Amino acid sequence: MSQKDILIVRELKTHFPIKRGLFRKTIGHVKAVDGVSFTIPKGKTLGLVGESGCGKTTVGRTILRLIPATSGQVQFENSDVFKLDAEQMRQRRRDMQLIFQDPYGSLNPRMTIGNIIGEALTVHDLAKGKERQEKICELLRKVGLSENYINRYPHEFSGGQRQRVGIARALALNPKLIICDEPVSALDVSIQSQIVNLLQDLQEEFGLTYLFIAHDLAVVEHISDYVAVMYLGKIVEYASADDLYEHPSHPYTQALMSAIPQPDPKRKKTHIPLKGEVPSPSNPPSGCPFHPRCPKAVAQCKSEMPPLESKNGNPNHIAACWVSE
Amino acid sequence: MKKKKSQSESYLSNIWRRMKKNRRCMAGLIFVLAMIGIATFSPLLASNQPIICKHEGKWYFPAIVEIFQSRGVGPHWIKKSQPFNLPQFNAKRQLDPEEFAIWPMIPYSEFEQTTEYYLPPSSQHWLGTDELGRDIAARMIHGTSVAVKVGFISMGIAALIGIVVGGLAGYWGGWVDIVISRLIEIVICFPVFFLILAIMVWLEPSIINVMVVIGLTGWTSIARYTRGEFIRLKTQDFVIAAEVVGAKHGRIMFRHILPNAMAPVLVSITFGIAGAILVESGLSWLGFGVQAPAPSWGNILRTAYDSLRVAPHMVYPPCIAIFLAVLAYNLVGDGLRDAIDPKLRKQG
Repeated sequence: MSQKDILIVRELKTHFPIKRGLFRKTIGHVKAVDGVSFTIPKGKTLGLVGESGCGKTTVGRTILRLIPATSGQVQFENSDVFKLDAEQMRQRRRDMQLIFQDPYGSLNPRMTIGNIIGEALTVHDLAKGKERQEKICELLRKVGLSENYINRYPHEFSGGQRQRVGIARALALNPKLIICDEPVSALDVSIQSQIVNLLQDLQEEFGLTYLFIAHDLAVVEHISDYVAVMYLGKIVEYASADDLYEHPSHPYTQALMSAIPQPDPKRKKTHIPLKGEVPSPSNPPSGCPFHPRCPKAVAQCKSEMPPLESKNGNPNHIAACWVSE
Repeated sequence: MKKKKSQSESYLSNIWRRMKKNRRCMAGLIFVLAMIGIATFSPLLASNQPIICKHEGKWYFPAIVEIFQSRGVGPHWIKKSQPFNLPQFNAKRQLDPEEFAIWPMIPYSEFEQTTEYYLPPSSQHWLGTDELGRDIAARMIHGTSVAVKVGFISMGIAALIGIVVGGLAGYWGGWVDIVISRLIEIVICFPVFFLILAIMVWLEPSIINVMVVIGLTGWTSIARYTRGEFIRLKTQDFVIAAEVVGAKHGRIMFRHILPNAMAPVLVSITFGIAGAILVESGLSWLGFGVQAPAPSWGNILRTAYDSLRVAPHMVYPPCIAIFLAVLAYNLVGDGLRDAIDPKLRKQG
């Protein structure tokens, strides 16, 4: 652990109990997040990718304690997030904000844009009256919206504009870490690039740290310094973005990479199709969770979970696979 | 210009636009508004005092003063001013030509007794007279305020309890929800009318008590709607966003969830008003509600029922008024529900 790491997540587990019957007996657990560890250096972006249902969003929300963790540790700056009481957590969240996937559901339809953005200022008693108004206008400008929108309601805006409002709300408290939960996957491709560029500009301006959750590998490649690939609640590969995209080591990552559409028709495509469905996280397969769908699986994969170890001779490129080098 | 207009309360104006298209709903709404108007200005419609008169060179506004005095509201000078008193309606003709008066449409007060009992409807007494010779039209008009008051005040109490209780259950979930839900189920099982009857035996029969008791027993459906809406909304992203930003529970409940939960709750309140009017009429009919000689549709119906053989015409006005009032509120509630969410139409 270096002093520069702003967020350290260790062995994070979030299991949801499955309750059935008259007495709501717990008959099993959905292991949405099952032992995830990573660190994010200050001012950098970690991309967290994976299929739908692999636990990406749950990781983000568990870090913010919106979902109680089953076990593990989250260290943000110098505080252990899971050991804070409710009021301390409320204060701590001033430095950790969240941007949502759905630009339609994440803005209160009965509040004006100004009040949505300014709420943070009100609840933390940071600004009042004219000062608050000016701060909101400044935030609107920062995210590329007109100040005239301050008294408008969310339904008058397009998806991209709403997402900008969501970003302005997250910025209102001058946070250090922003967890972006698929911030562009609900938007048009042309709007996606605008939002991603906005996020990058803001990162530069305010020295923000991002945990960027997405399933679109092209977007993640563009914005991330590091990338973690998740499969069924576990991180299967972690490397710097350049490394990962050039030498994907885990067969799952390789399959994902092969699915990125190539805009160049001359480039040869070697699509690696994945068979079958993602197994249920309530009953994950033995050994490596990817083995039933893995084209390279060997006998060992069925029985033993591979550890995360360095690959390609690069100590900063780790993957959990018995087969790959 | 168009853009400017949509800036304010767009959601409500959207509902209003859809409601306006629904003719039955608008008919109900007009009837309800008319009821409120009649209740508010009843002395202008039926009173033995003129609205405006000139007597011995001075101007008086006795019926207008009565609006304020009978309700105990308004500025101080109006409360203590002496209304101009005329003994009888036909005194009008004894005024000398210098004098002048504009009389209400029905020139009788609700208490004024004449010697003409059980008169059938005529041009002088539009709906006839009752067993004490009182004008039924005047009593019906003054009874409207009871129906309006009972509806709004009892449902106001019920809404307050229902929204708080349902909101707490929906927001906190867990054992709070279990306890409150069981409480709601228990209260729903009470045969409300007979419970109210039993309570009214112990309490002094008065309109205030009727309203409070209806309110205290009528909150269950409002609580259920509120609970459901809170459960639905508390997992929405904008509520989570408020939590992340640092809003406290009270703020999340009242600023974020409640305004979004109000629409279906309002529907349930509207239906509740219709029910409350019915219950009050029933109680007054049985003699536990509004006490004679004060008029209410329920006790007008009671006297009509007692004189059914002698004067069958007396029964129609209160019956029709109760029927139309309940129908009107139900139509408004129905229209409101359809306007808010067409999908809700099949439930309820």
